[in-house]
Amino acid sequence: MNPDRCIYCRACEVACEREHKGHSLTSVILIEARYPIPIRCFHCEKSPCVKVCPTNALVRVEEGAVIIELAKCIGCGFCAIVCPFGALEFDMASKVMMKCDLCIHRLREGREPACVTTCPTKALVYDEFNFIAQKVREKAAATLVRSTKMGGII
Amino acid sequence: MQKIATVCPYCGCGCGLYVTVENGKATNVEYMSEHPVNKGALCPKGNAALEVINHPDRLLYPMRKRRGTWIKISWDKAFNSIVSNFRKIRDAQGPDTLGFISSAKCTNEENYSLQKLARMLGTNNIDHCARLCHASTLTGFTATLGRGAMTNPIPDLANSDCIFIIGSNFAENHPMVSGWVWDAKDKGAKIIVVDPRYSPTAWMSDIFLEIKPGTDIALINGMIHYIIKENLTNKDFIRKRTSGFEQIVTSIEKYTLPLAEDITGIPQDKIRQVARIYAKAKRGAIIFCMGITQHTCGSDNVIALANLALVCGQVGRVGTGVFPLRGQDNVQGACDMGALPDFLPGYIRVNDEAGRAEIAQKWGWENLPKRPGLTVVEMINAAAEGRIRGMYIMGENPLVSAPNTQHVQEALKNLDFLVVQDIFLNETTELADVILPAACWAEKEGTVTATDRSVQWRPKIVAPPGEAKTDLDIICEIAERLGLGFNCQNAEEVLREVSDVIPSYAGITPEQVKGRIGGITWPCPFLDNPGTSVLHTESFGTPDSLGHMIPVEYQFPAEQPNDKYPLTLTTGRVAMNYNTGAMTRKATPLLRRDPGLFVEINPKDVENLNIENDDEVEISTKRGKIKARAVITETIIPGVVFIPFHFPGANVLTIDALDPQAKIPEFKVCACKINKK
Repeated sequence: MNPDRCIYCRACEVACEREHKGHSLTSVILIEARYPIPIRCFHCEKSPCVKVCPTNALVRVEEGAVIIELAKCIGCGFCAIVCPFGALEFDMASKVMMKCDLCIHRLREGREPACVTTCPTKALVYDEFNFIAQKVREKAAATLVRSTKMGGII
Repeated sequence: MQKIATVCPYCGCGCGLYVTVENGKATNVEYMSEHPVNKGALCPKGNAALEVINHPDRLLYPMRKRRGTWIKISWDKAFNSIVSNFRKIRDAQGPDTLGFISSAKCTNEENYSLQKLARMLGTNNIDHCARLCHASTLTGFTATLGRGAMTNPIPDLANSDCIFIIGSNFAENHPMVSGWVWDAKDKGAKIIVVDPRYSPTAWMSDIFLEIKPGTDIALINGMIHYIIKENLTNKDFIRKRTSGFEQIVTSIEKYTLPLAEDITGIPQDKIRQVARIYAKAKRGAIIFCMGITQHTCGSDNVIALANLALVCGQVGRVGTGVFPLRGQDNVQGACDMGALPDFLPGYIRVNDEAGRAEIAQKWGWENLPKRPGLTVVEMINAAAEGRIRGMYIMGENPLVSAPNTQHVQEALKNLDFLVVQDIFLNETTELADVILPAACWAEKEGTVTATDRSVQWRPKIVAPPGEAKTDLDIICEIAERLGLGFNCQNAEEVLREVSDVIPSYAGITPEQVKGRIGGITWPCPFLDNPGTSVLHTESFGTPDSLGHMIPVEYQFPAEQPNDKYPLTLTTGRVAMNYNTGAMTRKATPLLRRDPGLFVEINPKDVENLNIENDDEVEISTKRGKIKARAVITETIIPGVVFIPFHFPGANVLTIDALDPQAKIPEFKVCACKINKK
């Protein structure tokens, strides 16, 4: 994610809700009326939720997403306790935990997660981590050139 | 399962999307990455576009009121009642006692047909909600540039190296514009935002100017003053392409930077800085919206911006132009189609004898009325005074959208006969004699024209619920029964007539536009013409082909803060809701995130009022009072409060003072006070 570009339109939330039967698993938190931060599961490489799950309901699948196998979930909530982002929610109706599944149904059809495609400013991106880092380096380099060459414009 | 390409029904961006259909039901939205404007993205409203289609509250059959309750009637009865009442009113008191409000939410074909019906009945009293949003863009730009429309496509913003944004919060209202502005910023463009609120749009800015509401002309004239004084004008452009520069030089003399600072509250240093950046930019763009237009000086605000662009030669090239962002999916089209009291289709003035005669001949009708009709607010005033006796409102909700709600209510109650045609019951249908159930955006076909003039075809995806009919079918049936005999079988046929009547639409036929992602951008003067993405490249649309600079003076808003009402009230929109909320308040995912009226106020203004965040407060003006939830925030300048207009309430407070040329109300400034409830 690139929170700088986020305009707090919350399209990602509505898109997620649409893709997940009326339940949004992502949210944009507005800090100090100025800093919107899209927060959801970051599918951590060393996922504490996967480690603590006593029934192995939380698993990492081939696409890189950490997902819940609902039949195995007992709703103990250990995953929610260890998650530093508050990305897991308890669903009162079905008594299981819910979390972002990276739109696994879309990934398997070759489509990006809904929150990423819908984002009007590309504040959310879906790609290889190191590829994104390379892009950020390129942008930083371009900014450096501009600010030294065109420093006089203002 | 089928995937059908269509156009989003909300704002004027004209985003493309797919709707998946299973067993005759619209089941989901899918992104359209090949669309030139949104590249697959959708804002929250676009994601919730299907909510209105299968909604349980949809109107299913015609109704009329009996002893205070609505009873179902047949279409035949409904049509007969409309036809006999309209005939009676017209025959007794003349056609100008009828008024028609058309809809920017309806297709070009429907708008074209309703204005044709009104005019064949003998009145130019036809208008629509453009009056409440961008009427002043039309008057201001017609006088200066010759065309009241956005000059460049939205994606072209990515090519600008300075974007001057004034009175627009597109991050919430036209979110798709934000991506292109960010692309420009990534390439080094300077983003300047002028607003009384530090809005999400302002978050993108390199330079933010906090302006007092209603003082835009002082700022713009101050910038022009500085640009002329510092010799930053584009002399070649001024000499070859414009007229009126000498008058500007004289009229601008008194708008020194200290005066501009004094009126606007913006430090002179910042005015100097932005004037310099905009004037020196290779490709400068101006984006504006209702913060400019909704003033008693709305037309002059727009003219001032045109002057600024012309002085700097910032029009008519790639990435260079003026971008009025229009709010409805078809508000540009409704204007093009002549759903306006002073213009026939294609912006032919109603008092232009030759132009009128040509259209009359194409319609096979002898006399079309030549006296300009009444605008939305004027029709409401005339209804209050008894000069309008019957009204036909198609897909609009003036009880929430028009200023001074109390007055609107009294006026509509005073009518002998009111027909309202809509998809849901709303505040306005409550006052109707007959309610007609209409098909919504995905249940009918036709073209819509986006803010950047691209005309796109929107197909019928599912059938309307119950007995609901398309607006076009309803209009045609009424016209038929009134004996006007205009031939309209379906949207395709009407579009063919439109392309015959309006020169800019000449090449926009059903064959050309159907299935074409992104549509065709007018002017498209002949068949197979690709359309025109950038306007004014070689000449302006004025009669002498020059850009006209017209001196304009700073004027005070109609109502100033005073001892009794010490604060300035301004109104606007938020991301989750849309205009009068007639659609979005029915969409649970949106309403849940923005459930009701709130008022933003600066901490300084609540110091002695004992008001805290989330308190219920009472806001009052000379015209009425409402309750809302307080949001105390430093993002709004002291002395100003902000209320969104998506819920019944904001316009109980607003003033119905009008711009003398455009007749647009001053929604953006009035005097108010706040009390703890």
